[in-house]
Amino acid sequence: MANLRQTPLTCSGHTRPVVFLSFSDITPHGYFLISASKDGKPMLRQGDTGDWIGTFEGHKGAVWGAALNRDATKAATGAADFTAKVWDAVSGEELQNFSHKHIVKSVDFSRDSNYLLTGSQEKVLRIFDLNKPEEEPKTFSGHTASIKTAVFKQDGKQFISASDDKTVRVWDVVSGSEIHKMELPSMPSSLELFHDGSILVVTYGNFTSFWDANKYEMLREFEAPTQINSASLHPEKSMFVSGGEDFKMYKFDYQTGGEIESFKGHFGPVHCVRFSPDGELYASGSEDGTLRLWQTTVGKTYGLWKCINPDENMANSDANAAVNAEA
Amino acid sequence: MSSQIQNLQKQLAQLRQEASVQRIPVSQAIEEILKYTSQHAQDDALVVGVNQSDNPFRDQKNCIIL
Repeated sequence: MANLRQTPLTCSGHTRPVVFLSFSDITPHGYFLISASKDGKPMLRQGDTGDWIGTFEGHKGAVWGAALNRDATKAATGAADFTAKVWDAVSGEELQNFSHKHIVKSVDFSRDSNYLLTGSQEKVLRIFDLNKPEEEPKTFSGHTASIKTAVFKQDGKQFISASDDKTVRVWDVVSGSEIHKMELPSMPSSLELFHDGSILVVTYGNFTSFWDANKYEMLREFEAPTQINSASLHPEKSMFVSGGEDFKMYKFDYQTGGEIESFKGHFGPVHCVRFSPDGELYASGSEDGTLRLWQTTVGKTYGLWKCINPDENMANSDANAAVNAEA
Repeated sequence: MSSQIQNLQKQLAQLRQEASVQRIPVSQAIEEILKYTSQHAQDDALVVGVNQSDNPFRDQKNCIIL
């Protein structure tokens, strides 16, 4: 059966490239999305509609990393102004500011929202206790090049970092030391820890690789037709999506690695892709300054997408009423 | 000094005005725009077209100078 045409929701508002995005968990108010952009103004959006909720103002440089805590009550951002900031996601107020000695590339909350993990171009990772912000952070050194991304493991006792030194390393928080190191053939472009903590998604070159997050063995590795900047695994492990330098969004079968479909839409390289917590849509951020929300199951009624009486003859045309969400 | 105060007062007034603007989410606004444009499509001359006899810009017949 011919695939229905996918009409993504296009969210504009950023004036410079979108370099990172992150979803919260599902909360009683739905789920939320935060986007980091070189324009220095991270934005909070409603996750299923793309509606702009607010912009966090305060950073004086490009924002490279952004995260929401589980219930989306707090946001964290890391920027080229050498600071990481924690914000109240409900009021938009800046709560805490942590100075670093170089550009902050990545931020992540622990599951209990008590700690903030930051990775910077100083090649050092830090963990701040958000209940004792005056205290010196724990530092973790070892990487020989800038940190790209860092994420807490589920229990918050360990974390994983990816760096331009072509390694992904696992660290123990309490001892402060590196527990494991995975060498890659080229610089990792993205890192994602699957929601149940079992799988690590690492992209490098044209490859998307999946690793056992506890044994650190590679489970699968698939090649795409282009350099991949980011990939995300569907919550049910049926498929994964990725995007990169050829501006297209790819969807692959997780079991076979076969390409299911691909979508054009962005006008620039895709920098980040993430599945929503319910797997019904995935978001992409691009060099063109927009975020796009794509339906996982095209034709399904969800969020702003409505299926209008699909005619047998019209299977290939606008069987969906899709709406452009613009900030 | 007083011009600084005046400037700040103007800014304050502007911010107050902006804060009191009624706001709705973009998705809702777009639905309303779509509804309006589809409901009023037949009143729009650019969509429906204009009766040629009423059209002031129609091609004129040639004038012959006797």
